Amino acid sequence: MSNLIAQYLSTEGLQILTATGQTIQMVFLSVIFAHVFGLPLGIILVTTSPGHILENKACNQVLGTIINAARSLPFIILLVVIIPFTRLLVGSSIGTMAATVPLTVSAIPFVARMVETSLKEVEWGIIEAALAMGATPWQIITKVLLPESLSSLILGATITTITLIGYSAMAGFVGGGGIGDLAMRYGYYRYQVDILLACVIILIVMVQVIQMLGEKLASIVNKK
Amino acid sequence: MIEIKGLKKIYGQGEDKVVALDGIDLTIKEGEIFGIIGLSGAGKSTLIRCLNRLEKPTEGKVIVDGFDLTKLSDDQLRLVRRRIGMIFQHFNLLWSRTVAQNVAFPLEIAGEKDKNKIKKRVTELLELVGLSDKANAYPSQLSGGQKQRVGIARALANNPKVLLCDEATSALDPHTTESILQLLASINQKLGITMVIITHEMAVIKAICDTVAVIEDGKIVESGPVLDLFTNPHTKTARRFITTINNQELPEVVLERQRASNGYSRLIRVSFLGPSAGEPIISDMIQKFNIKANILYGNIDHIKNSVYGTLTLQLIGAENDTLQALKYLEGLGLKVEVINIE
Repeated sequence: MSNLIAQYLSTEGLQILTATGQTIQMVFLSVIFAHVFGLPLGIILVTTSPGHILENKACNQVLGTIINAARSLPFIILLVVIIPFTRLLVGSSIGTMAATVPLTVSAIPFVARMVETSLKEVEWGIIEAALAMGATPWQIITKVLLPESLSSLILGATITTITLIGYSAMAGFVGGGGIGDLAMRYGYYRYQVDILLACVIILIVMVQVIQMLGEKLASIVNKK
Repeated sequence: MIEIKGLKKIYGQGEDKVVALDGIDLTIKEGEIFGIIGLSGAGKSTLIRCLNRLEKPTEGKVIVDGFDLTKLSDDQLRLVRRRIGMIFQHFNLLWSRTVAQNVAFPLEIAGEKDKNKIKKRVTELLELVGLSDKANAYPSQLSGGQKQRVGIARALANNPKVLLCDEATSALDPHTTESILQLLASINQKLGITMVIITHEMAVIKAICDTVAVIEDGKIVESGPVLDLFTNPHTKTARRFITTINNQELPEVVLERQRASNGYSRLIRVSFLGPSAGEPIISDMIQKFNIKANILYGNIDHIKNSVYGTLTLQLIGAENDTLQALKYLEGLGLKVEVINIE
């Protein structure tokens, strides 16, 4: 949709605007989807670890290994390798939506580790207190682990978002568009320094705003 | 209310194995405040954690309110745990919840959905622990003593039969400790709830416990009414704990002086309990026998309404007269200990 509009009105300003919209769309969607899958994985990583509420060595090790393997795959390779999967999922292997798929897939293991780190910060004593009250594992996850680590989870999501903004620049390979892609094509290959500069400034502002919002939100929910 | 039989807890296996509890037998009666005292590493924390199976015993039985915890399934255990409250050294409150929400937490865990019921119960509990004005504060805004009050309110929410206190006052200053202990004692009186208190401080035992057990190297080395332990400790460990709050050791200078004195003399320590504390026993003794008494040290104290005291005397006189005087004191039912003879 936004691609179409851009074809008809190809002034540079509008191009930048469209690209910004694409970046926001790609990053926003992949952050959401990466958490939909990464959050449960992070929870499983923590709760199945030794001595935790759902200790399960096999599950913990298998999951850990898969996550490490997925994280060691360079994004640019992942982008190409999962093209069949992308096509299956969004019906096309090019475009902004198509770029969202590899972004999400690459962010899932990242989010899982982020969530794991956040949940591990919850003092064991608090979990023990809940156990002593007769809480079920599900109650401990929903009423203790997640609310107690919310502030840290928000900061983690902020880092994920900013990392994905960087990754989204590579989305140009599959025609995903976005601000990073615009900077490459016009600013770098065509020596249009003004566009390059505009893109960089937009990226800087974007990162600053996200970081600021993330920190603000995290401090609001942090009651510790 | 609580019965522990042959309880063993062993960590690790083979050469790395550590025996934390080595055959514990204890009976805790309904409504009493039972203290377990021991140094760090003695196994007291492991022991109290076996009472709600936060630690799974390796061997033996733990029967709480008729349920053998070692035989319960996870689901049954969760139900039984709701009848056992617990408070902790570091309070373990949820930082993300207000005081009222923290107290409501165990009610939610127990499946209470009725918001009004929860609110009513929370108000009641906060009143009981004297924190009604802090209902909407977060734990980070409270002092240590206030946090422990929230911990107590939370532990009582589901009307437990037993309250386990794991070093509940160890992170608090002496003044706050006293007020928390008073609160626990008044809750014990009001609700008749059985309490098990783990501590390394003899002052805690003395302040509120009815019965005490001394634990050392995973074994109970001595147990009985608190008053008995204070007046008649059998083990060195128990004696050392008593010394921490009631130093009866004579200064070296006094012993020196006694050694240097001429003639036959004895240092004795007389312990008295209850009514005899009020009678002029010593002056009677001096009149009856031809000896002199020099008072070196004396103190009088009370535990749960019973008065007890000790007196360290130097008896000077002929050997025969002294021995008769000692017999006279023993005849009155006092405990007489000869410290040294010169």
